[in-house]
Amino acid sequence: MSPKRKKRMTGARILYNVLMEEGVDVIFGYPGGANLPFYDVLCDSNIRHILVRHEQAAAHMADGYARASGRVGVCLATSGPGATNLVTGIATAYLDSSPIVAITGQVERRFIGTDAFQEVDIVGITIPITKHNQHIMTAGEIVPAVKTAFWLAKAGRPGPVLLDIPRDVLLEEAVYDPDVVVTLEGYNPIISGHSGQIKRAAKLLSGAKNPVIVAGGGVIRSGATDELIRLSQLLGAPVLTTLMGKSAVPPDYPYYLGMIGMHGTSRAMEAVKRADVIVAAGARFGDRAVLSYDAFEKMAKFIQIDIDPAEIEKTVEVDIPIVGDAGKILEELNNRLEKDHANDITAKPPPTGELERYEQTETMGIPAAIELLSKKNLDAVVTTDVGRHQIWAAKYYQSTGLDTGMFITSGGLGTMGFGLPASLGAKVARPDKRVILITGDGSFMMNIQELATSSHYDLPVLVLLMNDHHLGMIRQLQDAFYDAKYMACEFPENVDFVAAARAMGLDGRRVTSIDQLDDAIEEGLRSKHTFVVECLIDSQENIPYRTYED
Amino acid sequence: MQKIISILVEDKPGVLMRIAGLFYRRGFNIDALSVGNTEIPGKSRFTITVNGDEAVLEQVRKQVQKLVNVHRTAEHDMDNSQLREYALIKIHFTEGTKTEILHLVDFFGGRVIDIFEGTAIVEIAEEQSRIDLLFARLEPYGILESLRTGKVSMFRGNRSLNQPPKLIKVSG
Ligand SMILES: Cc1ncc(C[n+]2csc(CCOP(=O)(O)OP(=O)(O)O)c2C)c(N)n1
Repeated sequence: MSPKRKKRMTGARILYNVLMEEGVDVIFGYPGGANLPFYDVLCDSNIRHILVRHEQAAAHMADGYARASGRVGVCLATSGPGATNLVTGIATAYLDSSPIVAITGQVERRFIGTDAFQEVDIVGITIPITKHNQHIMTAGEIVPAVKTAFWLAKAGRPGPVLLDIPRDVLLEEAVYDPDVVVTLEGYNPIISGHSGQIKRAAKLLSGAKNPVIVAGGGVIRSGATDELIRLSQLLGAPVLTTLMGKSAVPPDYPYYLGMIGMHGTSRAMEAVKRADVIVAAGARFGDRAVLSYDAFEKMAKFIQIDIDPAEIEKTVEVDIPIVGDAGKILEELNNRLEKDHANDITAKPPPTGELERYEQTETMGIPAAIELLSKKNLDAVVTTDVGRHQIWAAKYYQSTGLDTGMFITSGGLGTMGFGLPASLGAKVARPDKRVILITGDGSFMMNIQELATSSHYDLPVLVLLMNDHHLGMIRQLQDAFYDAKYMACEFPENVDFVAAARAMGLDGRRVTSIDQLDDAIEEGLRSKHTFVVECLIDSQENIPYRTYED
Repeated sequence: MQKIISILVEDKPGVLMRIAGLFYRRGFNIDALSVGNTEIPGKSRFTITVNGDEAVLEQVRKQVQKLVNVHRTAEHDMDNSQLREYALIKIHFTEGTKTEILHLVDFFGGRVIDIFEGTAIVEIAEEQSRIDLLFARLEPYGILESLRTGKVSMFRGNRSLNQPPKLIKVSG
């Protein structure tokens, strides 16, 4: 403890200092009356501030930043509408377990609860979509609250934390003590798995005929890829992923068979059906991945590894639950298998056959465009929006340059409008990396204003926009389940997206046939700025649905 | 099936909302809820009585356990705990029924705590079934008003919800 460091200062200055202590280098934000005292401090500071064009985008950027860097992303909004605009972004981060800290300004303490101008109860609103949130009611609470928030955002299962700070708390003075010891009593994540359970799992696996590994987003958050691959090699077990688990293993890993679930690959589905033991690592058995809980439970024995005890058996009954960090548990499981069962197991050779590819590459369809992009094997971070293009991308974007965790998509909430801001956040986090956004005309329009942020701060991403003049996924659902009665899913051809990009200081190119696409992508790759390749899609091909009866 | 859950919490505004929200999300109606201070400064204890699917309830309990302001949760049953409820019953009496009523109340372990203008207030702290019975017996005399607190519970023997706290260092 260095008493020298203790000094009196305003709440805003304390907030700035403690954010610096936490290593924050960028804040995605938008000002308003309630947070201006903090902006006053940010004015001549070492923290970079990215002025977004809509607060929702600030939350998505913080989220994209967090996913691309593994660090905590920070967004900032004012009270009332600024705070409520963050809500979709916070919920998106919550459902995909992404660590962000959202800071909202609040009206002065004496006005709280009076329906004062721009007052909403953002703490109340965000209780169900944050790991934790809190009002900071005195300047003296800022340091412990911020330290707790950053710790919680990353501890155990990551997620968003919100701090709500009244304007007058930012203005009042308190002693700043960066060395204060902060402890928590309630929250105590379990990291290393129960050794008895790990032993049982090793035994079950050593006797398994067709073990299969399903990797979810937890493998990425935990950095468990190497141990997962080690397990797969020890057993010779195929690796499948959920949507959130995509990019948990390299696309060219020989045991990787693609995605399971509603829109999974047939090889992945075959492997699931053949399996006698399924190891789910950091996967929460979501309804889209499992398809039918009844059928799924009957198929095999389950080993579930999850850091969140509340995920264990939330939807599926499992035979061996193990709570803890996926990487740690897999490591111990592998050690156990090597030590106790070396003679019981003969690793099976990698499955034969290629990863599922898209074959009809002549028409200007979404999967064909993605296949073409994928074949370039670019070294890039890929983000998507939500819709058919997202699922096509998850199925067919298999570039060997896709690093672990660098397929960034809104899997849990399915938030249209996530892609562009998330890609900009990822670019801020990884300026060394190329970032590619695969989006649809519906989704892109939902946060298109962030093109202005991109040109303002020169954050270049390559945008592959699948303009089918449709909310394609809605059309597909109406095709499949509403007798092809289409309603509210078609857009007139009234938007020129390349012109929109130009209007915001950027450029792009419109592509009407597949043989122009490679050129346009190359032009985009050469560009130093965000470049919108607008693909005019002339097919309405549906994504096949999978069932266990296939 | 009925569950009785004790929750030891940090006494902060909004804790009730956080906990209640988790039950609400899975469609549980909380049958009874009691909250109060404990011997530890800054800590309160909830007792929640709730009915429903056991697996889902267990899941909700784990969600509750994840709340930062929640320090501990535990489940009680007749075997491991003493379960008590408290009730107040306001009842009409006449000269003719007075003795009978006093007798009944006494028999079930209750107590008259107020008599005014032909009415009596009866209190009882007992197991649920005995309170149920007292209510049934008093019904014919005309209950004017009544309330029940819902269960509170404490483990038998050495087991305690307030084990020494385990502090997790966040910084410093
Ligand atoms: C904010 C939001 N609103 C509505 C939806 C429902 N929804 C899911 S996919 C989709 C269509 C997406 O269209 P587009 O972005 O053009 O992609 P496409 O399906 O055509 O590839 C809609 C409306 C959603 N996921 N998110």
